[in-house]
Amino acid sequence: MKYISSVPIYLQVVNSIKEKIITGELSPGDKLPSGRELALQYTINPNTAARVYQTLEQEQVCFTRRGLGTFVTEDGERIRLLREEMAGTLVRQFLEGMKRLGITENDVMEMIRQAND
Amino acid sequence: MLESKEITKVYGRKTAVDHVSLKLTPGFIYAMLGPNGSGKTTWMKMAAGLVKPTSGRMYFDGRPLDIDSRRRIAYMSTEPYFYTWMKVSDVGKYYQDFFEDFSMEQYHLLLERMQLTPDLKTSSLSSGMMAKLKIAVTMARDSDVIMLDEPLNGIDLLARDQIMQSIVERVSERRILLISSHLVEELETVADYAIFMKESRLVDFRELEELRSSEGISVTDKYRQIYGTNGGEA
Amino acid sequence: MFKLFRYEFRKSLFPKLVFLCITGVFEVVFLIGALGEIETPTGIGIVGLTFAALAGIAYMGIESILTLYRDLTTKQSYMLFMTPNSSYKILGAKSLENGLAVFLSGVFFGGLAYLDISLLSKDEPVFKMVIDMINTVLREVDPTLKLSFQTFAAVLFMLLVTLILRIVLGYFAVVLACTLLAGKKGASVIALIIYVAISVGLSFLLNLLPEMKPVTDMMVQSCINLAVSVAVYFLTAWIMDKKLSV
Repeated sequence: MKYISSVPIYLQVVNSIKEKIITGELSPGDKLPSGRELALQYTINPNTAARVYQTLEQEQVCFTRRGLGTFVTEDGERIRLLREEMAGTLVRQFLEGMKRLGITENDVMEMIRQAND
Repeated sequence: MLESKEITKVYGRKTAVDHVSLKLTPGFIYAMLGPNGSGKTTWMKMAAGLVKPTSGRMYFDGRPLDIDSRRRIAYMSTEPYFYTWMKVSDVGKYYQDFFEDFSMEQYHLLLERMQLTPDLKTSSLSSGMMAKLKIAVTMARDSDVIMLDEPLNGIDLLARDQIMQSIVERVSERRILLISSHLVEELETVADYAIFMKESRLVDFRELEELRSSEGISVTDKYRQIYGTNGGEA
Repeated sequence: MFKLFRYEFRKSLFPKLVFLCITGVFEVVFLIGALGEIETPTGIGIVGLTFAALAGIAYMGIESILTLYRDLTTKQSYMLFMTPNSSYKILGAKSLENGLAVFLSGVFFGGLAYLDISLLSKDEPVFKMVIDMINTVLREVDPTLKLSFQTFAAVLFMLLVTLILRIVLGYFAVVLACTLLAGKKGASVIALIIYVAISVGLSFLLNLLPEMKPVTDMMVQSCINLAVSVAVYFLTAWIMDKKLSV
């Protein structure tokens, strides 16, 4: 994976896993790799990998079963919310960019329609 | 824990390391950064017990560094240092003869990963192959401290990935990993802390994720701030 | 210690083999001459073997000092100083290997000379001839001297101690020079100066001893040399452990 070196690595990995859950690459209840495996998979520090799971758990995207490992949440509602959260973030970033270019909301709407045709 | 207190090394008129106090705790990967001649190598050699400080002291687990510490500290220098008569297999045997924490199995695994064979003569190795051999034999030790001085020098892109993977594999709660490099980007994602050396002095010590979240900058950015001609801190 | 010893031996294997080969060549030449009763090859063989023996033993004598110099002035020093071996052990292994090498080459060349002389002298008992020769030499030195077990032991002890002293002084000179110069050029010259200075100083001090019977004199000098060797050995190892940077 390519990283943006000025953004915390753990956040980038967290987002990458969230994307995999949303796109269905990871299904609800799937077992996630161990911290060490995750570190190797993403070439990150195992301490960072631990922090990734910590964050995912806090956000209730994942849960840990003692001695068994970390799993993707089985809560469908949480995954739906996750999709909305990430979509919302993307839209906000997109709109901010447009605002910087001085494009009004109506023009943006028009441009999206045109691009879709 | 590996610690230097006000450690200084003077060579004739040149001060190589100037009153550096630094404490490394197990469980983390430390990236020692700085241009050539900033004191990284000399600090490491003092930690390995090869170079004796002019003043100040090195401590390992709270006790002054001594011969016994070498049982638990693995160091890889930038220069090749094997006897010229040795084959790749002899290098492994030598380490097995003198280091209890050396694993022949791990050595062969690493050799295979680096695409080296035991029957090669060390005197016939290219500089890239020699660099790989040094890494393989050093990382085959299950030591409490592993210090690698410029492990990525002269190593092609694909082998770099292998090496970074081996480094990540070696992280453990009881182990200190110290890696020096002037290739900052390579260590960006794996290191926990960055140690910035400049003109023989320690100028900054930062946790990388903290640097990214609080200042929104990368290690590379920080490196430019410290060493760059524009806006550099003196 | 045995492992270190083995590696010290391995380091000096090549020059040892070279001397063995040279000796072998001259021995063959000598045998051709001796068995075929031709004068020229016999002469060449004798001269060559004498040269090989003298050069061989002399080289073995300084060989470990040269090795130590190389060990300290090249990056190969890491091979020794990275390992958890104290300098006492490192120096001990080096001295032992070197002492043994010199002793064994002495035995080897001595034995070879004995066999070759036996071959030439045919019926004459060589052992008696050698004893007579030694006695002649001894009488030259001191009229009261005669080869006895006592003198023989004293001479052997003196040779051994002198050898140890030479080796240890050599180590000391090299280590001190490398410590003082810390990687700069010219350590070999400084080492040589240190070595000569200490040797001269030591023989000057030994000359201050009162006149004694030859055998007693030999024993006293040897004991002093041995004591000096031990002291220098510990001093050298201490410098290596505490001060030397490689």
